[in-house]
Amino acid sequence: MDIDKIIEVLSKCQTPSEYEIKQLCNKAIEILIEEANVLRIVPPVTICGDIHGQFFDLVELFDLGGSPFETNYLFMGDFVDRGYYSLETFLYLLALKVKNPRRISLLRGNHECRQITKVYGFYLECVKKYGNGNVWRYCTEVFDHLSLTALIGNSIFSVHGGLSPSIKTINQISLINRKQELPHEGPMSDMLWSDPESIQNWGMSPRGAGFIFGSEVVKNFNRTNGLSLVTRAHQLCMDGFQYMFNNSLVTVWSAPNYFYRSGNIAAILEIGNNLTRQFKTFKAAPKEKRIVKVKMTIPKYFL
Amino acid sequence: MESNIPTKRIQSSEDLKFWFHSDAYYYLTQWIRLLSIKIKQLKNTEECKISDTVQNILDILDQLSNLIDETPPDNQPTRFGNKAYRTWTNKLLKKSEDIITSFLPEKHSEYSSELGVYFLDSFGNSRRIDYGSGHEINFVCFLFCFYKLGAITDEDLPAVILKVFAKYLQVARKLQKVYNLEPAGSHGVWGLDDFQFLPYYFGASQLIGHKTLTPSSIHDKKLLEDHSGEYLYFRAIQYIHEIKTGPFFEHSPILNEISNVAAWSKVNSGLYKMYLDEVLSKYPIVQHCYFGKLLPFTDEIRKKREKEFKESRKKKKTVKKDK
Repeated sequence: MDIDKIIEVLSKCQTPSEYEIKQLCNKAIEILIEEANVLRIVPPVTICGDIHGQFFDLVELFDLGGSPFETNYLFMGDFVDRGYYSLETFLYLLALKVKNPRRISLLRGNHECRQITKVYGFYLECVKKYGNGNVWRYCTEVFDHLSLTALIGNSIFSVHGGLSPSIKTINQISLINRKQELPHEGPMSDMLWSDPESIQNWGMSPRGAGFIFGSEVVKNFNRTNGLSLVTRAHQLCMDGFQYMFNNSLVTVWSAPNYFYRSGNIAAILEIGNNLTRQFKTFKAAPKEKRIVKVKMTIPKYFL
Repeated sequence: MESNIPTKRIQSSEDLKFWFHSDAYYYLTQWIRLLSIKIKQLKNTEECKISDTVQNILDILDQLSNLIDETPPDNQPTRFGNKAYRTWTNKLLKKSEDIITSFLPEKHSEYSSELGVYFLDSFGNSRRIDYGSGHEINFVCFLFCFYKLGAITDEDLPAVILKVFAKYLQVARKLQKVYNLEPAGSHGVWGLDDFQFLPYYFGASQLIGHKTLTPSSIHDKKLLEDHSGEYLYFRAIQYIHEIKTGPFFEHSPILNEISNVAAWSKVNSGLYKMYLDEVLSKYPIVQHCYFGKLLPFTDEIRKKREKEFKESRKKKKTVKKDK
């Protein structure tokens, strides 16, 4: 496998051959399978939120945050679904990971699973681009191996969704068998589906999966685990990021002008050597940089 | 026996399989088709019979719209949606008892709370400050309850879509705009629309056989403007232009492709199949559906059909034997 050639192709938002994708996914699994449920990351690192197939906005992100060959990145999941380029987005990040596994860290989001991608677009995109579901299968197998959380410099905890009532200490996360399709319930599901809310403790989530959790939950979790901050993604933010609970938790969102209507900016969080925090924000890529080459066809229902 | 207070019943893949054979699924799909048939080739502005029951729903929707004017967006810091939406919802809940008891005549009062659950969940989720096709389903279920009880009859059906559903869409869109509601469960470029589905299905029926307006007419800004007051489909497209940025083919590719379909009848029948496949078959949406007495999570209709089928096979065998 020529990883540099694959990166070159993907960087232009083009897709490699089905065989190359299979090779890439197999190689990625070899790397991911060795990684823990809790990635240990030494700063500096730039933390990013949801991308949802917005490839040209990912390019803006790298323009702002620095080349992925020279800057450490942590992506908190939800690479796929909703946008045009879920495949190019995910495979590009995966190829960068394979090229430099210590520099690029990838966490699983609630969209990185079979059930959700069959509904929200990734599966359709794969079939449209390759005529069959093989690349979708290869990618979903990679999803099964993605890490769940990260610990940056021992005091910043990162996860896609949020906390779980079953998880009081970070060590408990290590006991989870993550290499499977995302379950409907349990701590693995909770961490990828939960949301913070302006309440004190736990509540039912209107999403139908995970829970909502409040200020006391975060305070206790941070204190028990010696944390100064929880970073998460999973929810759209108008300003790209939003602090809650006296700055002890922050949502980072990296898909600008979501759905072409939200008018939101996107953000990345740069963690410096001394765990300093700096947010940088960016807008959607301008018209001239967005190339829509996906040729949609009349859906089968109308034929 | 099914409860009067509708509850969510679809919580596993087994439940999902059962849903397709359920009485509720049958009633809902037949209801949607019936409504589509009843408004074929009719404009929104068509003169319809408006019964007291229908007028009452219209008046209540007007009240909800006024409530939005009385509850302007606030300046509280927010992640995305405006928190004044929760104030609007609380105000609605305070009035809800009076509203809900006004819907049905005394003889059907035991079903009021059932109707109430569907009605109150038709306008979005106040915790998440969002709105999606699941809320639209609830409103359609709400309307079905009246029909099942006989409080709305076949004669009222044109008004149910052309006046009531049209007004519901006005209220929903006003909420979406004023409070910046997030699209709940949108499929992005792989779905029809971030917020709604049925205006396109019903809207296509209105346009079947139209002499001058074709599916590709949606690209003509002047035609959109001239006809958005008359046709749900055109209003829906116009609304997208009001809230999305960038070229239409980029942000709404599925609708763009549908504009290449030759006839509205094909658009209408295609959207029905798409609705069943993309909305009513999807666990993330139907896990939130409610089932009570009027839309029950039972399979009596299937059982009856199977029994009838067995009996007719028995009869055939007997006839053969006699011969």
